[in-house]
Amino acid sequence: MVKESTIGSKIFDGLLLAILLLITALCLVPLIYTLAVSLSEKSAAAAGRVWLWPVGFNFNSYKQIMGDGAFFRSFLTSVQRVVLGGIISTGIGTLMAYPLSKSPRQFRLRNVFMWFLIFAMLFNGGLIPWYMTMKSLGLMDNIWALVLGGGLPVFHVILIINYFRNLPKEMEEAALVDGAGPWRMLWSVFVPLAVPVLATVLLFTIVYHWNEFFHGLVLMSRQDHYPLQTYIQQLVVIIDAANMTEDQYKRMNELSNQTLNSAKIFIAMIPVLVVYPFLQRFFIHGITLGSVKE
Amino acid sequence: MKKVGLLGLTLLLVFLTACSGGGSSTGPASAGADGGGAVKEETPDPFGKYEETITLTYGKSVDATDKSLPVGDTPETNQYSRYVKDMLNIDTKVSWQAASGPNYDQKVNLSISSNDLPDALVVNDMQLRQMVKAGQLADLTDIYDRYASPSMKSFIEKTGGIAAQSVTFDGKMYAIPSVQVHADGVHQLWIRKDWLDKLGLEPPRTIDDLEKVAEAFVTQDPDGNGKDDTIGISGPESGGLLYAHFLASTNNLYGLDPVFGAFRAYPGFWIEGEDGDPVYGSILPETKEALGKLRDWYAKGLIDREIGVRKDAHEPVKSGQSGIFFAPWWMGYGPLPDAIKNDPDANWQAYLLPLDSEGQFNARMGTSSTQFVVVRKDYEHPEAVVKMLNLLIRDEAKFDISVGIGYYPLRVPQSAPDESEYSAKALQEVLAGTKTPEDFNDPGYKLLAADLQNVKKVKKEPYDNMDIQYWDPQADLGVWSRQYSLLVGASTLLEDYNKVYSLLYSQTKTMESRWTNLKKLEDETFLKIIVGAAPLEEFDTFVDNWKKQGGDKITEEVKEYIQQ
Repeated sequence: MVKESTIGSKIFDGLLLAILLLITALCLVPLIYTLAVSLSEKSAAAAGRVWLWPVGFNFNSYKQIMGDGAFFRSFLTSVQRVVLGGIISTGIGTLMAYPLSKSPRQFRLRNVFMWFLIFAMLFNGGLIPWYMTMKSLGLMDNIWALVLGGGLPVFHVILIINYFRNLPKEMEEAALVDGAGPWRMLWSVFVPLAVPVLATVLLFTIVYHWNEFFHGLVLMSRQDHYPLQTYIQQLVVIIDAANMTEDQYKRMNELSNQTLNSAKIFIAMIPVLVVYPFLQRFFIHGITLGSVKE
Repeated sequence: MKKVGLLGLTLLLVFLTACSGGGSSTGPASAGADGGGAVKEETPDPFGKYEETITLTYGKSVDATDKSLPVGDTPETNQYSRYVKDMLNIDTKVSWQAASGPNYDQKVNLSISSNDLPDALVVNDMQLRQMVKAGQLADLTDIYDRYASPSMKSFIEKTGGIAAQSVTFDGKMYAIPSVQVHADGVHQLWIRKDWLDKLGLEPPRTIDDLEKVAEAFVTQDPDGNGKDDTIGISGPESGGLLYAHFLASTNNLYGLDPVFGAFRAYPGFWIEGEDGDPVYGSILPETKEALGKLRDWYAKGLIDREIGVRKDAHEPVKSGQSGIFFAPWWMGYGPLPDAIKNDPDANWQAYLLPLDSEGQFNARMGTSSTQFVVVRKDYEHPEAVVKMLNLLIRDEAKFDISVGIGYYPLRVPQSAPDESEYSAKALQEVLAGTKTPEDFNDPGYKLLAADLQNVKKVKKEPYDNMDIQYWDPQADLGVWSRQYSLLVGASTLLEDYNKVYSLLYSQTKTMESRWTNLKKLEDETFLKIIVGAAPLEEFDTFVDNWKKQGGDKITEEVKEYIQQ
């Protein structure tokens, strides 16, 4: 690589660097801020005196979390949900995508199924009918409600279909000649070739299940069963002071305990932060390969 | 044909009675327990224990930050639910639980709209109306008459009809209301007395005084850090209220209510107009006058520059930047603990100020009831709920409150409306030595005995000086919070002041569709006027628009409502 040294290109490089640094800062500052607050004195955080460096450095909030059974119970629920949800969504998605990746000539009702899926992706019945359906299916207050309801993300299916279609036809024909049936074709030819897109889809699913709090709130009847983000959401949600009653203002101080809440948020971020780099290389490959047609 | 059927039924009944009575002679005595038909024979006992265990399911709001339950206990099974079981033989079961606040509301709304209701629930005003309208609730009129204990009835009566009015629809009572202390609705002036002393000022008695004090706080560096960073008067945060209104009439922290009161303006309240008809306070000239003054103050920099956009209005108070804010009596619970931690000399004192031109403090009073216990229409034992609340009122003082009282099944706070002032007076008298703790034994004031016992833990001599240096918050912050709130925040309410009630604390029919927009129009216009984004004349346009967009119709409805 030859370095050009015209003034114009230097300015351009400088600008580029500045913009990239700015974007990096935008991503990092909230993270550092949360960390700084979590390590600060409680009253200093409440008074807004903490910015990117802790004031009154201490580990109290982390010590407190270590002794908090509810936090870890929710943490485990979330892990369980991510594992189950990741397996189920990716598995069903692959099974759904394989037949749909065939042409209507090979699979006559393909377009009917496809439209059915697209319709379900674009329209939904709204919160109440959905809630009543889940209830009549007996899924209330049950971990399966969180992974089975919406267990087939249509968008992911479309990604996988496109990837399957872009795989070389010759490989399929070769397998056919060697006597492979549809199941063998899927597991021994298509799935190994589609690892990038499957990893992508898996990552999407993991992140979704880890961050999702609303279903946990609506479908779970007990706080012991809340996934982690639902647990955290109820800590940081703002209490409406206008309807507060006597015993609630006694709790005002705990409710506004920003340091503790920040510590919880920070710990909750860690698993995704750890998983991301490992799956990221697939993530980038997968999304370009799956969407570009040859 | 009908007669024959009736005859047959009678014969059948006689036959059945004869059969069941054949074994023993206790037939009539046990009849009350096994059938609704014989209820009229039973003498209603507010604390009567059921002979056979009954089950009651309910939705529970829990406090996510509360860690007071002993190991092994749950929000469903704890010392309170066991007490209810032992005393009344009611087995309480939690159908679902959610964190108090928006999460709980969400769950309740879902239950209402999917008609998937537990036997009983605690709901808010809007939800109560919705459920009445949908015909989901049991009529509690008779049950309240017969089963409510004298204490409960006296609390509800002491509110002067407000509590009863809030749960009565077409002459029928559909819920048991909470009865909260009315001190929650009185917003007063909280001021840094140490700053006043430092600058040689007195607490501001009038609007003009307030202006001078705020100006001094802003310009004369009262915190002595050499920086121009102090705020005269704190304002509401983003999404906060400039003043309490008839639908959210209590506990408005950092609003500007007393400033409006000093102009005898009551925006957000339905008050009696000059002709005796109800009128909405926000459209009256007094409100315009008050807004003009606030606009003037904002321009001079006396009010928080970030009014209405600040993320957390507690912040400037906790950090020691702010010198004045308006709020109810209980500030010792929060934000003051953090404020004195950051600055142990922050001497926050409360006053019923500023006064109007006739030297009177005008306080808008809140509603007594914001929470309601309702019972599902077909539930077999609606009186069970009343019995549980009777028991709570009677025995609350006896409970071991190291476990949060919020775990009592279906609890809504019910107490004497004047509890805060009464307690403050009792504390003053005991501190002064004119009375002893034994002089106070009215069971209606459940926390008083503990208060009188604890006060000297945190209050240092001299007992009649409430400045912060004569307190010892470190001794027990929890006790300090309550005592400071009572002695500083609630003792002011013993003075004589003008109590202004809204004629209505709930919505009328047209409000259901229009009010959100009207209120938004009002809030936006007023905030714009104060920060100078719109001229004061914008107020007149607002009044016209308000009337046209449904305000006139709503006023008519309120009038009809009052005349009923």
